[in-house]
Amino acid sequence: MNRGISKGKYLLAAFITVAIFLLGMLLGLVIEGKRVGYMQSFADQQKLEYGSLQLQYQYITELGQEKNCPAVLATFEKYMGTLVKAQNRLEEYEKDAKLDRNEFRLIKQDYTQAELNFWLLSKKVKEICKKDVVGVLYFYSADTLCADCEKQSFVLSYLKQKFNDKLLVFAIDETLDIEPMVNILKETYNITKYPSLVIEDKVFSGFVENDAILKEICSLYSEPTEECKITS
Amino acid sequence: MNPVVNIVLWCVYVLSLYFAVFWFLVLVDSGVTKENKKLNRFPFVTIAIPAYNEEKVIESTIKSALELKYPKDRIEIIAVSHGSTDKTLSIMNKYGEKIKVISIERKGDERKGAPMNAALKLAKGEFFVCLDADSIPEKDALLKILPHFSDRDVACVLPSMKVDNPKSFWQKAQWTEYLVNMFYKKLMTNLNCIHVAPGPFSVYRTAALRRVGGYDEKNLTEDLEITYKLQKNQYRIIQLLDTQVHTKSPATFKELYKQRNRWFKGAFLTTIQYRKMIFNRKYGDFAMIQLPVVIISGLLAMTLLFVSAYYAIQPRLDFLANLSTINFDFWTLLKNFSLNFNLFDLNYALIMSSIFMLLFSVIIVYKSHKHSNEKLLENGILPFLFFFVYYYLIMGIAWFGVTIDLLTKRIQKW
Repeated sequence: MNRGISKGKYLLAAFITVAIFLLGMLLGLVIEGKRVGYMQSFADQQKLEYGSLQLQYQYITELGQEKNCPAVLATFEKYMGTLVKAQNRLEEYEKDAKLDRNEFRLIKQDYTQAELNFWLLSKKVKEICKKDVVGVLYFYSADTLCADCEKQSFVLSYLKQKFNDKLLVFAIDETLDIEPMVNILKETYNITKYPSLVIEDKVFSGFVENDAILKEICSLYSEPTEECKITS
Repeated sequence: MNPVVNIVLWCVYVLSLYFAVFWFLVLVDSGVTKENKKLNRFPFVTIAIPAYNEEKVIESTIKSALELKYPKDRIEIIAVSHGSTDKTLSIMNKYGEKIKVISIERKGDERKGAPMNAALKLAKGEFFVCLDADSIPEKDALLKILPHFSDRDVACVLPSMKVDNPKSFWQKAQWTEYLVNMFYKKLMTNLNCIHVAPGPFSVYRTAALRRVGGYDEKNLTEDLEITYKLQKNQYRIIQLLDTQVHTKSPATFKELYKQRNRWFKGAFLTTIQYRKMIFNRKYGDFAMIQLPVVIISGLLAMTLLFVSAYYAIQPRLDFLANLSTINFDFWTLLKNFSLNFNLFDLNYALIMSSIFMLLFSVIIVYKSHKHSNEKLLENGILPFLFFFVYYYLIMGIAWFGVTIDLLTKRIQKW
């Protein structure tokens, strides 16, 4: 005697399961498109913000309005903060991307350009406003093989939280070869290993411990800061 | 995310969702059949109570069998002590006038199948009931169960098993688990693919038991093995929901682990023993879905256990390693903590499958309670949530133990 087999149910269950996953994937792709748009609009905003900062800098330098330095520095810090957050988000979206990876790379190029603009501007503002601030160029690799990059990012974001506006960290993805400036900087500082740090003009190759960075940045402040006192 | 773990995880999602959809379709298609059949005659019934060192519970079990609502001259009770070394046999003998008591020696690797066969050999009943010493049936159980044998091919009818008087957290979680399992078995009845007739008050047609050669005396889960045999011989097995038997369940994690280890090991070994039935069309849905599921559920539970452990431990280890690089300065991190979240950050492909999975699970859990006339959250919200969210971890741990035991050839005696 042969018993019944619920063939119809097996097939229908398979069909529904596949349909649910396809629906999920489709929704994921729609969201990916939305993510591109969202990050792009953010990049446009960054450009406007950078334009505004540049204008403020010109105003100070050309009209000798140094008394407005605190306001300009506060704006600078605020814009940098939003830029870093957006960059972190972009990094995650890029990793998740299924179809629009190239789109994300182009947006990343925009962000990197904005960041380097901020970096150059920070050097000028620092000089004019006589602000005791240390700039760190952080070269990391978005390649999963860079085991220490995550650890280095953690240390740098911790130090950023500790020193606030006295420390500026500019993170550069070395794999972003579509942006010529990335290669120029790599050559300038002779960066071959990741992570690498350029603290002001001094190059550190490979993972750098928290204490070593702390020591280096504290040595660069003209006046010892509270944070340096606590640690020493 | 580790790509291998990611692929494994997606396989688990697909399989879990597939089974959830499948049983949902069975529910939608066949529904839950009504059970209010009436008994027209009183066939002779044999109740077998096998026991091994059950001095604490044997008396109440014998009493519950004696108190069953059924003509006393149409029932016989056979209590079998299987080499008990405590007072089990003397307690049984106290009831010697009302019940038949036999004592058999425990030989080598014999298990519960041996006392069951001893009782089966003596049984005069048209129907044969197995009553584990730790279980108490409702008084009208026989009156409700026997009418379901109206078709000749029905070899076994099962009451709904409920956790008796759940007190500990683990028992309360099992209370929900049993309700859901019974409901699934009710759905399995629709496809005739029940794979186990548990010890507490499963009623068999004696002739069918004898025809398939009785119990396997060396099997770790003789109740599962006899069900496989009945399925192999094309009999039907029916699960009821409105007839109940109350059974003691493990109160601690250790006891629960031991019980599940035995169940899963027995299920695995018996399925391997009957491997030729797997995907054999002759045995219908039992061969096509139920037998593979016994193996797959073990793999799924273990995979989920490992994946959960990986995701629970790995990020924390990374975080600890990161913290060590900043000399564990939590204060600075806490002081500056801010949420940076927006809706685009979510993984919608995963959320979509999870929502459907949750939806099917909620429907099944709700229906399980409704058809057993029980209230949701009867035993508190925490054991319920634990069952709903984390029970698979316990199953995974038990299956992992089974794998280790089988690799090291450790098999328990009872």
